[in-house]
Amino acid sequence: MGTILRRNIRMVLAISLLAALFALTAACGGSPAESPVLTNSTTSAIVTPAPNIATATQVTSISPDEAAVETPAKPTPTAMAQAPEPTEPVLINTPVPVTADLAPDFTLPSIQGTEYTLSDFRGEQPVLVVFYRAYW
Amino acid sequence: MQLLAISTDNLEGPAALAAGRGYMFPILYTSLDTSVPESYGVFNLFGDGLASASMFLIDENGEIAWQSIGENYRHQVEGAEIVEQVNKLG
Repeated sequence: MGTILRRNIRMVLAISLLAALFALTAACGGSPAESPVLTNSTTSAIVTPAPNIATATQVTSISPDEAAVETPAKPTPTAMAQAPEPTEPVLINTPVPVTADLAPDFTLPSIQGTEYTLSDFRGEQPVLVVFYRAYW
Repeated sequence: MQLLAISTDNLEGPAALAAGRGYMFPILYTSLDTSVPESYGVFNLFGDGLASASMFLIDENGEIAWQSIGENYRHQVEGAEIVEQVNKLG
């Protein structure tokens, strides 16, 4: 009788250990085979991919909690939209409007090798001056 | 109408080749001289040592007819808006 009792205790311990391992696996994101199911973020879906320990009834009592742990780890659209905000530069200097009658003149080189002077276009045609960041 | 694009980067050498592919308008650059973007009030608005993305439409008399200054880091101007402003010049 004592031997049978010890075997039963070992069996219970082994099942408990398996259940604990399963819970740990689910908490860490599960195996690749489970991931597509977890994407649906349903509580019952966590329980189904447990083919190796289907007889361990302890597993079913753990799964709902694991689902709650799993959900925040998924990147939500809101979280992704907010991600770049902390690094985006903000305006620290107010633009000073040009007060002169004429647009400030300049002569600058171009990458094509020609120098351009804004006032050369005066009386000829309008000019769209575009300040841009980095090269296109 | 003439389009003049101005970069505050140094676009000499290899950077010029990278910047110049396929564009039919002049791409000007100021290198380290910031006087031009400063004179238009668009330099270093974000503390990054660059000109803010901005546009100035200058009419045939040399006066600024319309401007759009990038006070937001993601500032963009729709093409239709530019065409509308150019058409206003007549």
